[in-house]
Parts: sequence; C-alpha cells; structure tokens
Amino acid sequence: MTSPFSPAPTHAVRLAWRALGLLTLGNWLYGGFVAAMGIALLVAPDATMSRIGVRDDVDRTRIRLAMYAVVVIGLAGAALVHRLLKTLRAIVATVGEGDPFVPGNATRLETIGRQLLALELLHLAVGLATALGSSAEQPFDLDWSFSLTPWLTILLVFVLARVFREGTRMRHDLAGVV
Amino acid sequence: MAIVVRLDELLADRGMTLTELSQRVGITLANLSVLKSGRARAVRFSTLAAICRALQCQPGDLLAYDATVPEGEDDDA
Repeated sequence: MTSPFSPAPTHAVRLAWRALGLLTLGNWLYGGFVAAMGIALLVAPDATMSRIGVRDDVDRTRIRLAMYAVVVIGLAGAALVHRLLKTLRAIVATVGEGDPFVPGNATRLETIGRQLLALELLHLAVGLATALGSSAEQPFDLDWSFSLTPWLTILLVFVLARVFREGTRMRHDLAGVV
Repeated sequence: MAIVVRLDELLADRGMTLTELSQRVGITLANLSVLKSGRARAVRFSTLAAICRALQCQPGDLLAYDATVPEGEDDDA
C-alpha cells in the first residue's frame, strides 16, 4: 500500500491510513463471500439452502427469493462501503499533507453522510427481506434489529459537514488579512 | 483591488525599509509585503494603527480608493 503523504505524516495518520486499507481489504473479502453465496444459490439453490439449515420439507420459494434479495443488497452494501472507505482515505490523505481544512473535505463529509444514509436504507431493506422471507415453518433469521444510533450518526455527519464548510469559508475569509 | 496601498511612498518619504517597519510595528515582513504589494484582502484596525504610529501618518495617507483599478476576483469571497 503506497502512502501518498509528503511530508512524513504523524503516527496517528499512518495508523488510520493502514486501518482503512485493512478495512477495504476486509470489505473485499466480505463482498467476495456474498458473491460466492449468490452464485451458490443460483447454481445449486437446494443444496446451498440445505447446507445453511433450511428445512427441505417446507416450500423454499419464499426464503430463496428473500436470500437472493439479501445477496443483492449485500453486494450493493459492499460497493457502498468501498466508496465510503475511499472517501475517508481521501480525507486522511489531506490530513497527512498538512491541510485538511479545505472545501473538498466538506464535500467529502457530505458524501460520507449520504453513503451512510444509503447503507442504513439497505439495512432496512435487509430487515424487510428477512421479514418477508420468514414463515412460521421456516424462520429466516439474520439477527437483524433496528437501532436509532446509526440514524443519529448520519445526522451528526451532516451537521459536521456543514460546520466544516462554514469553518473553511471563514478560514478563506481570514486568508489575506494583515 | 480598487484600494491602493501607498506604503512604498510613505516608506520612501521617511527613508525607512520594510524590514525596519516590520521590527517597529511587530508585524511579520511577509504580512507587510502582502500589504505593500496590494495582495491583502483586509487590514485589521490594530495593524493600521501600528503602521500609522510608526510612520506618523493618517490611515488616509496609507490607503486610497482608485476607481480605475479593476476589482480582483477574490474581493467577494
């Protein structure tokens, strides 16, 4: 992984850069796992469902459709997380370069807010898919639960992006003041 | 910038260099250079007062408005 920093970044920035690199790698593995699950479901649906514990004495159509939906949502989520990590790394890069208070980072924070919002909507879609895929005979349990915390985080990121934009504007105003 | 800074003329009249003025008013040479070259976007009253005190002049002696000079792109930002 090549570091874009010049001059030498602080220890914390280097650590953040590497952590984001590892998270990106982990996200690729997650995406690969979800894709493999999707392929297995397409190629050998019955065998795959039996393998993960779906009973074979019930109608599997409903749960199979729900699993397809979860796979598609999972792949979309992996793509979104990839873009989010890329945006975050761009912010960390500006910290390493010594000047993070630039209008571009305010835009990046807004982008991260939108990406988090999209991820949370995908999370809701997973909840809907599992609810529709479940039946009394064969529950579809992905340990899904609703939480307000991500929504508050999204709100916080949008507020911070606004604060950041105002801050960079004020800084720009102050530049050239003698 | 339609505001013209006459620091050069004032310094020449008093036989003072920019470095000397910088030492007297406690403003960095870099900032005074920005002011002298007309690249400053704003001047603090404290800066203006310090320069006027050091050069024994009025703010009007230092700054002038020239309508023939076009406004810079940065003026509204």
